Amino acid sequence: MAKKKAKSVKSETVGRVIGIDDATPLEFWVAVEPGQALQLDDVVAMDRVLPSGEVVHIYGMVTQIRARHEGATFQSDVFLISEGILPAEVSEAALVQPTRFEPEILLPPLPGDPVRRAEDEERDIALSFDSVERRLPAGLSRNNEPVFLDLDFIDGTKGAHINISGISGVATKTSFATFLLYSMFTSGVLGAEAANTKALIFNVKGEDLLFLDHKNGDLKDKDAARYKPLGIDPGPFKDVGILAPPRRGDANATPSTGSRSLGVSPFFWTVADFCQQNLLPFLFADAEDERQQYTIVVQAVTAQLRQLPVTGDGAVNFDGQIIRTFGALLDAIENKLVPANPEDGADQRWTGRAVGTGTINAFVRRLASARRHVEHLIRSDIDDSAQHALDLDSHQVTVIDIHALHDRAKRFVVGVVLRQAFDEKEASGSAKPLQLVVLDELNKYAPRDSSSPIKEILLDVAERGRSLGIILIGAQQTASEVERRVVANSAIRVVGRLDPAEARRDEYGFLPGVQRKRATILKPGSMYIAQPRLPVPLLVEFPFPSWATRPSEAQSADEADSNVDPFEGL
Amino acid sequence: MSFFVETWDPSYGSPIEINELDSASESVKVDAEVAVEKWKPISVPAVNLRSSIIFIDGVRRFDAHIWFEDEGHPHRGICATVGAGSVRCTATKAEVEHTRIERAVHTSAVGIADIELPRFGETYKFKATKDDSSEALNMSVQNHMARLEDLISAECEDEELVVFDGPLQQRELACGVGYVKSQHVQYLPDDVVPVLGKLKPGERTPLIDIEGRFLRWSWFLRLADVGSVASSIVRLELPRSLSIEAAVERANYVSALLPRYASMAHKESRAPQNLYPISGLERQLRRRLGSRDLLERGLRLASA
Repeated sequence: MAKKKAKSVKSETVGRVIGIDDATPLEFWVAVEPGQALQLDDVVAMDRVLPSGEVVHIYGMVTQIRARHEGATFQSDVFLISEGILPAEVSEAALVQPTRFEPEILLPPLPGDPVRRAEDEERDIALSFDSVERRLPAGLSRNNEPVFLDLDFIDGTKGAHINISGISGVATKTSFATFLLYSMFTSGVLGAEAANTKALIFNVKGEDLLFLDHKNGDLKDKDAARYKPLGIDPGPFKDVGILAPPRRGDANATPSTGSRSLGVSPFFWTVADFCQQNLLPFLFADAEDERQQYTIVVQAVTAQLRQLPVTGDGAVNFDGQIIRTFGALLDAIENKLVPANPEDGADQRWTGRAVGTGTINAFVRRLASARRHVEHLIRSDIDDSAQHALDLDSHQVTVIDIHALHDRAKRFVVGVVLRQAFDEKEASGSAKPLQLVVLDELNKYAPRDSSSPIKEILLDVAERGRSLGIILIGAQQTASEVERRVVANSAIRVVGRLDPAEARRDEYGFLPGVQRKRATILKPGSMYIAQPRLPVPLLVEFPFPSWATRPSEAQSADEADSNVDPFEGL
Repeated sequence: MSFFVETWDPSYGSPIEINELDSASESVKVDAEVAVEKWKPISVPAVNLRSSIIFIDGVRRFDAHIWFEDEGHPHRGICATVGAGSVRCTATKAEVEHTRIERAVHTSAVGIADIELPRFGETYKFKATKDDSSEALNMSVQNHMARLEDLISAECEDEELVVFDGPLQQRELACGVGYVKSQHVQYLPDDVVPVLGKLKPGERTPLIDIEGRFLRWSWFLRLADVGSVASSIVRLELPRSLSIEAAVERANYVSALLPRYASMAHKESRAPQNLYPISGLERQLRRRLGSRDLLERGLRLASA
């Protein structure tokens, strides 16, 4: 009953469409009535009666407001006016961008038409929330009203993927991505699938994401209260697995993390995995680049490695030699390519045909330079190494910590893990439950101007993930440096604080001029969201994370980490 | 030889048209406040605005000249729009309070009905003039505007101070002050005229007593330090119903207040005499007169 009442009471007139600036179906100005005020992002509604008697409801959003003295001619008139000498009127006008016409007859409102604030159900209609069946809470408007995303455009039903841009540090891209995950898992929007939906998060910077399963001790009551209108209970992520690379030089492969030691498992690949799953190309960022001669060698060596017999405990048998470390494998490969006795000549099965010594040397050089960075990630020198196979299914959220790895190792891990996730999904043959992937610094993995196996995987995810049920929540500082197809395939675009020079680029065409300017001054925690349903991007603020984003925030009763040894690792 | 450039826009003429000065037909007593031999500029003490000051002014515009056929005799007519309004100035705010706009067709032709412009929802009311001469038509328009000003001033009877743009004429409002921007009549006898030239900005002459069609107290005030003395002088009027003591007190108050409202040459084509509140009011009134082009088109449509 209360809801029905809200709809029947139309709010009072806040202004009227002005007639000295053109009113168009794409934007128009509204003079604000004295005693009323409109602010940016306010949602308004008005009616236009057609000659036939039909009423068109026009809904829109305030994107700019101006105030001026009418009756003043000179700048200095303001002093006369404020001293009570020159009569003038203060006049305010708001620029409105229509979000919806109902029914969809696209015509301008007429000058003089009264404009009202769209509240409650009318606001939902204005922002097209009324036709969204599965609403994903995405944050709050500045009036603390919930803003929703249409899950149909995320889970692949009508569209998929989310792309987030913004300056590091102030754009809070990762926080927003984790908030969306939390919202997806706890708001009930996924229904029964929520339990089986999995998320894979790459932790690329700091240790921000290693404490997702801890309550945030810095969460104040007023911050926690902001979850309420969204229909979410604040709390930590429930089922989190943390994977970290093994400590370098540690024979037991204990995970290398700074502040967190409990509940972290190491991840690495056995030498057998490396050979059998064709992982070699992932060591070469530009292996697919046709112009590079040595890619022939990469392909030849990959094919040869695949044929090596495996021992069962993760090692391979390389011409009778049992190889358990990456270093030993590289030495063996090098021996094949560059024989000790130059008279012997290189094995053409390993080098590829008609490949010059220079090309082979280029390959060997590149391979050797990768050794230092990945040798701790590819090993079979531990007893149960075969059991360390990457398991993306045992936890709802799997965080893979790569922040301490060298760029080459990062690319290797991301490429290999994504391939594995992709292959598993492809093999399962069902898009549901979803596999969500959160990856920051997309510009590193899918740069605009080059080609690599990692980029190919990301393109596969971007273009086929929608039907396979792999949803990429990608982020980058600058969308202009990321492969166009990866960004273009994202149905939902999100922008945090942008660099002013970056904001002028075409990649942000979904932001109209005023929003683009505002994007350069967004404060942390505020994002613009562009979604296919709405022609105008929405500004949202998402609540302070209710999970720890750094060790100092981590709060847990059974947390032994509280007395971390400050000398650890020295 | 030094010279000054007149601050008024040349198209408005000069605030003092010296060649046209002639002796007033009315009788003037110069010794109302001080004896003739003691005449000298009076500097008035500074005051603060007590509550508010009201300025009243009107504007007029000829929208179209028209002809009526009356059994073969053509009659001239003028369609004009007039407006009047008031501005209330306080220490912090100036706002237009009352405005009235009316349109009328002025002619001596008989049997004429009001002219309706249905498309614009406007009507030109019929106003009869005594003949077709330009003077009679102009006078009719002027009277129409004056009547609107009277309606506005009727709403300001209880105010502390009301300044009318122009002489007081028939107005007998106790709180009224007439404000005359341009001087066409020589009220002062030759022996005190030099006092005008000695006025410093903000100084006034002693009161004079004008007896003619209307009884008035009057004095001259130099508004601002621009150009020559002559081009920054205004004449003010108070109703004779005030006692001389009350008139002096009021003259001091008004003289102290008005320079604050004097306009600058680059903002106002009749500076400094056309006061800021009045020029702002005129601007708003002109805006509210409506588009002359549209009205003229409406008249052409109505004539067809």
